[in-house]
Amino acid sequence: MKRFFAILLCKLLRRIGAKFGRGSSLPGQAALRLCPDILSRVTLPDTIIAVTGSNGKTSTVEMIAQVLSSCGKSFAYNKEGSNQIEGVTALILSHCSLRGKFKRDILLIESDERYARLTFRAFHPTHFVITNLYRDQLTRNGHPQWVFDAIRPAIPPEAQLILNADDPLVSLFGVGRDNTVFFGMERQSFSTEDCTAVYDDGKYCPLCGAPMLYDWRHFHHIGSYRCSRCDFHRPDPVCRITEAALSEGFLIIDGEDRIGLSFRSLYNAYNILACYTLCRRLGIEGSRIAAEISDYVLRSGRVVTFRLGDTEGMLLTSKHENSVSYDQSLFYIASQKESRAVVILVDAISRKYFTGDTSWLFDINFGLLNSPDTERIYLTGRYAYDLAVRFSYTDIDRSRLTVIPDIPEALDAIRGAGHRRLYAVSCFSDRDKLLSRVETT
Amino acid sequence: MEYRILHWYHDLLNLYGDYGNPAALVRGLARRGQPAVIDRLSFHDAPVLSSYDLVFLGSGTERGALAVLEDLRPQREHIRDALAQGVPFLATGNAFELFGRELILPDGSRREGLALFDFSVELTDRRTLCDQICRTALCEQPCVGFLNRASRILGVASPLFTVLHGVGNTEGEKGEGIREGSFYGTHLTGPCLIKNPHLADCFVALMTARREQACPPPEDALSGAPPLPEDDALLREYERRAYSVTLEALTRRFADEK
Ligand SMILES: [Zn+2]
Repeated sequence: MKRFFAILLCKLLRRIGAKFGRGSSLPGQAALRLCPDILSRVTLPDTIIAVTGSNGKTSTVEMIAQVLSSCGKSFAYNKEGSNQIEGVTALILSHCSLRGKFKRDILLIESDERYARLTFRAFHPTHFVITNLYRDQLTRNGHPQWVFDAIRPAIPPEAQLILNADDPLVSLFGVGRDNTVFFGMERQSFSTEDCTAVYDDGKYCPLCGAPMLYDWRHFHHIGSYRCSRCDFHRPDPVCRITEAALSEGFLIIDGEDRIGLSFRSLYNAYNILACYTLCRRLGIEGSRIAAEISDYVLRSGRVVTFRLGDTEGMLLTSKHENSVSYDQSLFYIASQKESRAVVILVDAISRKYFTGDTSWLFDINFGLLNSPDTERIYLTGRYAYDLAVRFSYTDIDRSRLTVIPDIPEALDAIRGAGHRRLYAVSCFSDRDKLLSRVETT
Repeated sequence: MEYRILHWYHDLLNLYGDYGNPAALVRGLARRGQPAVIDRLSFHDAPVLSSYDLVFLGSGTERGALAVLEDLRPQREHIRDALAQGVPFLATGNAFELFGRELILPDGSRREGLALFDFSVELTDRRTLCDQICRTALCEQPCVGFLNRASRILGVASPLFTVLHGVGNTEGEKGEGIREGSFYGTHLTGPCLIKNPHLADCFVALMTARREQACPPPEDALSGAPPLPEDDALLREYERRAYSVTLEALTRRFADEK
């Protein structure tokens, strides 16, 4: 009886919430309060997919959903990205009959990495995808090893693990474990032998602590590694990107499936590969997957184009407190061979919690912007001076920086300067402060 | 002779942009007309500690710090000698926890610390995460920063900071970090000397005072100093403002919480 009311309550609240545009975790929260073990009282489908990791969860899940829906599969997923237990509960209950039976064949879940353990206590995913572990919101999450320790108890022994082979800490989940497959990217022309980032989280073996050796890296600690002492090494991927032609805008997976890139970043490439590998495990053909996600434009769009006066702008949404995400954006800008201005906006470090910590700026490789193509760099937002101080520890000449904390004022200055091209780097928490003052195209 | 700063375990104790601290000291020395270099050393390097003007260690993961502890253990006597000679040590984050008597892990097992100071550390399976405003006798203005640790520190007799807002070495305590002789430890993460330019000045002054005591500077002390950028005054202004912005944000925040 409790189950019946919990499901009913959740459905009702969700319907009301949808009307008022309210968050998607509240109905789940209410249902859990009424019936704390509701998740173990419902009948779930045979296929439950969980996707977790520091970056790329939402994009990966969105692309999997795209493939599943175009293949006519019956499934549900947490579209709004509410990825803790309340959001997952709301997702499940709103697709359940009042008698507690989940009405679709597949349940697809984006899961918060720190709280996955709570979510998956009541039920177990059959497929568990882990995208990567990066330094991400250290002021809230703790460091990657800490997050690793938080994810480990969430992985049920019977689940199939689908892991990024190129991320040592992620592949560590698969050591000594059956029923695990890996995805990875082969060496590319842009791969380097040395670490090009400010810090190196792949310096020491996560298993025994001895120095690691890399044959090559794609970025940061992502690449082909082996321990100098123990047997730990990059496992063989079952699905691999054999060619990543970023400037031409396509990927080749396993030597045959060609996938066009609507956004030409490595980030995107790994998310596509994770999606591809998972869908292959579900028995979908490679060519079919490739066709469905080729040139796919993400709804959760990281990239927004806009106009500011005569200037053509492109916003590369990055995550504050996440240096890998910033580095990817900066690397993308640096790889565009044209003159441009760049604006970096740091105003509120998070939407969800307060912190004044700006130490993460020192983990970002802003030196990537040091090129004659970079006409001017505008630093704006409440933390513009912190950015200016951070830049003073790069080789970038200070005469090329303009520091204006006030955002409208900074945009006026950019408009007045008449740059042809502008790249904006900011976070989901701050980007509307820019987008609301420009004309999106 | 140029100043020498040791950034020890730079490649593992580097969780929060800690490299900014030695970099800030080099800049501070340049502003006093003194050239300086940073030595970046790590496992198995066994540096001659007494040859440095300052030794810096940053924050690592819990496992990382314990690995460093084992590498430090055989060098304990050298560390003690260097401290006895007054070489300033600055250890931020969990690096400073290694210098106490013992560490008790979350599973209850115990690891002997370097036992250079009489405090102990309990590692916890929860993190303490907190913005901080605190004061130290080293300088007049308060310091700001962020504390990010998975531990409680017990029995520090002389803390480096008095916490105005935030948390101390253990909950309910106002003292944070440690100051014993020439050893300075704090859980303020990352480039706290960049965030607090006045604190950086104190450590620069420590270094220069120590040298001048040993050997008064000759007339031409400024020769060989690196040139300062023309707009150094502007840069100093940025540093001051970055500090003020955070101080104001945190002050407002803590007032709202009340
Ligand atoms: Zn190893």
